[in-house]
Amino acid sequence: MNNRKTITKIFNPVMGFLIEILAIFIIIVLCLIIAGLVWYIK
Amino acid sequence: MIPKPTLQDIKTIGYYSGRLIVGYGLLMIIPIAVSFLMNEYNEGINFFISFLCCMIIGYILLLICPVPTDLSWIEGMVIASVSWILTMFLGAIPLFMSGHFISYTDACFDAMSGLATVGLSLIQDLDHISYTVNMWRFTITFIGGQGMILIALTLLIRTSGVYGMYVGEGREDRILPNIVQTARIIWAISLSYFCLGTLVLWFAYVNIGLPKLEAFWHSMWLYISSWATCGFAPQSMSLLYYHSLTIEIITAVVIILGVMNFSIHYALFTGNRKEIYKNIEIISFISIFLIVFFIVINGLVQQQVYSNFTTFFRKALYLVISALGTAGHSTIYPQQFLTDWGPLAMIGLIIAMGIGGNSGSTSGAIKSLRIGILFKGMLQDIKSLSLPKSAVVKEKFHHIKDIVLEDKIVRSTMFIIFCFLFSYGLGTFVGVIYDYPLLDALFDSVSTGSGTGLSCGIVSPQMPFLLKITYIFEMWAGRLEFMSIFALISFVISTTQLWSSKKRVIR
Repeated sequence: MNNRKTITKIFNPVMGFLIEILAIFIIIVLCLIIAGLVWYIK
Repeated sequence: MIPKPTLQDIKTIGYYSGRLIVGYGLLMIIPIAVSFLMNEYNEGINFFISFLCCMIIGYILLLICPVPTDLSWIEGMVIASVSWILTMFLGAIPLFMSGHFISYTDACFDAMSGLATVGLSLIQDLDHISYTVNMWRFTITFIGGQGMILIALTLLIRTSGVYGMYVGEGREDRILPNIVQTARIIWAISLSYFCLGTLVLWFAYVNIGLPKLEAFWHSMWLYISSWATCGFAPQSMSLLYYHSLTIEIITAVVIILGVMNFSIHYALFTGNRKEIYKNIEIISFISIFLIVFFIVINGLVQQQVYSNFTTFFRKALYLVISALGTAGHSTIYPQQFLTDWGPLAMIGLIIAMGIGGNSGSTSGAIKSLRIGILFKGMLQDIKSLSLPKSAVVKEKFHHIKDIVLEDKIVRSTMFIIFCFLFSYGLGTFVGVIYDYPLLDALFDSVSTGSGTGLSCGIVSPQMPFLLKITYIFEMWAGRLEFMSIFALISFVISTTQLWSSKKRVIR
């Protein structure tokens, strides 16, 4: 039971951090698509 | 107007301000230690003198005002605003003594710029300042980003009624019911990222060829500056000095992490993963980000500044992140905003700087949460117009929990937005009076008021004295989000009225 709690305590922040990084990555990809389209059209 | 203040209220404010100043003085031990480490003894003496000044003023206040009572809301607010001014004056002493500033006003400008995490600087010969002075610049940046009151709540102050002080510093969110526990959570998140970010940046610096010790200082300072969303950099050319894509990527990520609300970090770290796409603040931030980015790239394409796509994308993305995150790191020269980027891209950046990041973060400006609430409020009004008069429309928004959008929330949001707009307008007006072009004056004023730190060239030691004072006011008011300024003004007026009525009774 204690082991489970410890794993959750470590797992949650790591997953939280990875989600934050993933969100930033998605924004950058969206920006890349927008910039690519504008560059191509104009 | 607040209830009539008594002498005990003034003593309570003096007592807690004294404690804050003593704590602030203790922080000067950090640069003193650096001066010994790096054999910069002259600078060490300057900081020791400033340390003594803090201790003397702090202990005089503690002696004059010895018996504090529990803090009221308004007292907390007044302490927040007074302590920020006092720490600006005291923090400027070692900066001025370093000999890198033309006047004490310039040193005060830099001290407030660091504390309010703005990042504009009037320093002379930045590239050759000592490690000690640099350490102090980034220490006050870190204190400002975290919040001076927050540090005091963690280490120095144990009393009831501290929520007023906490709110007075421009924070509202309680991550946990207890404010002291909230402060500890904020510290835990910040220090975890501090270790991780400094380490990653250190590897990047060593990789581009900096000696290991130099890389340590640069990585720590740049991390602090990015996390606190302050534009200070160890070099006068900011990020442009390094010409490194890796460092730009790392700092951009740190800035985005820095502009995220501590409550959202905490929610994600405790397993509440839905928060990332449900929270109104995140949705609003991403929407604003994409709109601003679209405006900026259109401006750049219109001007045909960059001939290859990679440079165009890299510069545009970094500066939009830097502006919206109110960080102020720059990868172009200040004059390039006027000569290369053109009006449309500058307007895009002005919008980004004016809005800023998330509430309850190290970021400044209006904040994306307020824009989200304003948008929801407008949506509610449009819906109620299209429905029968008897229909009751109630919008909800999600920010950690579901909140019903009440009129008073929209009203207070609009009031703060109006205050920010007034502050931006004031700086622009003074700039235009001194003959600066409107767009340039607007750009630098918004940058200052929002705590960003990008400049198109107005901010320099040669700028007029009144403009320096206006910018200092903008930085102070913008960082404290105006409420504690109003509290201070009304406290001063009430005290003056009380004293004048006492005089009349004596006569």
